[in-house]
Amino acid sequence: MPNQVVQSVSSSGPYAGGLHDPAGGAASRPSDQSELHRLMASEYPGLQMLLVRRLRDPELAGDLLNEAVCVAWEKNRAGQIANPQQIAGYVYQVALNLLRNHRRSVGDRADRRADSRTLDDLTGAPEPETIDPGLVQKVLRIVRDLQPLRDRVLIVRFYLDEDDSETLCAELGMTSAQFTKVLHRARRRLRELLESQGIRGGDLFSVLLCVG
Amino acid sequence: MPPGIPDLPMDDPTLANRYLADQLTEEERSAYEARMLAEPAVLREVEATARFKVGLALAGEQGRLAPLLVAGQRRPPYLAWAAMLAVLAIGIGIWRGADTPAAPWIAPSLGQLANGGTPLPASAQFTLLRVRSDGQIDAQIPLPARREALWLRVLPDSGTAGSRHSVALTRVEEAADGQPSSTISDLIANDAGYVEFFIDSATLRPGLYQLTVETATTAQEAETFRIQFSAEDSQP
Repeated sequence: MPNQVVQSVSSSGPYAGGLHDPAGGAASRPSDQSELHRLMASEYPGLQMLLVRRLRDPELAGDLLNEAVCVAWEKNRAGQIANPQQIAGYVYQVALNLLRNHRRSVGDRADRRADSRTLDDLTGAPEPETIDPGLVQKVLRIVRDLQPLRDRVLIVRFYLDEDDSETLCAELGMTSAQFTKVLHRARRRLRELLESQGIRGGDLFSVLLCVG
Repeated sequence: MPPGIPDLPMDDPTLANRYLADQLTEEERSAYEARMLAEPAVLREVEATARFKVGLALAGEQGRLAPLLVAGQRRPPYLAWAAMLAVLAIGIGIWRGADTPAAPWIAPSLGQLANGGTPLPASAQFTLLRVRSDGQIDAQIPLPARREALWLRVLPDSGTAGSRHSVALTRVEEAADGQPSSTISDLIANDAGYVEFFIDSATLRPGLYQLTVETATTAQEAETFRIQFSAEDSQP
């Protein structure tokens, strides 16, 4: 079975232990985990891309995702995931928890006081190989289609700058109802974007049935 | 929903983004994650939101977002052709040549910009909003082929109805050399907080300019906007 993602992950990073048996032996079902990892990378690339951007370190992001896959897989093996279809959600949940913990630990270090916004604003981090080359075009099309200008500004400041709705409504002279309407419109386009990129929710389920 | 976890208004369109931005409270996050596990549609929205956020960040870094955040209508084709003919007939160097003023000529009203006693025609209106995530350029404005009064409006953070501001425009490379900038003061923001003014296009050259907006009535620091004036594209 192809194992490209796992091969690219460092074995020395802080999250590298996820692929190995705690007792020091080989991972009990490496091919199963690899398949789950591969599917996460292909079906949920947004998570991996977000981790890379937030951490500014593709290797660290890969390690973190590996750890999340491992934790979710172990939960599944232990029967703690009632419905195997939920495992992708678990991977998401664990990955974001690990990211949160990592950022806290970085923030606590006196020699690395950059806040999360500063970390996000740093540019130049390489992107993962899974990035869709057409993603920027599609995103720009969504933004361009929003009218008037104020709606475009709102979407960019909400999703990219992560400004809160109260601030945006006050600064852009909008009511919360107008804000919600714009966001609903953008979300509808987002769903279309995802469908156009293809997401096959059943894939993970099928694989888990085969190997579980 | 598992016991002990509060319900969430799932029609709240901000949830997915706030979840990814780590802006939910502990309780909200637990509730949202429970939903994410139970409902594939919620997970799909989180994934779509993650892709959108990354796509926006990439677009911003590539400088492709800023132009979409500036108002400005493309001139109708017949006017563009007329402008091209004007360039051929007169020659752009006549008005953008050696006698180009060192500093841009800006004015609080259209009537104050004139060419030989004739008021300059006004351009489409350009709205400047600071694109904080981009970090480089807040607006790209094409310079018209014929001499016009560029109509700009800016929304400073401190802008409220009736607030008073001064505006200074400086070419960036000249600012570094200590060249004077053009300044107008006592501009009054409109009801929406926008500050409007006009620039004689003949006093601008392609390149990067810095617009500094100060508020007279507050101790707030001056706000700066970076504008890239470019030679007009050749599309009709």
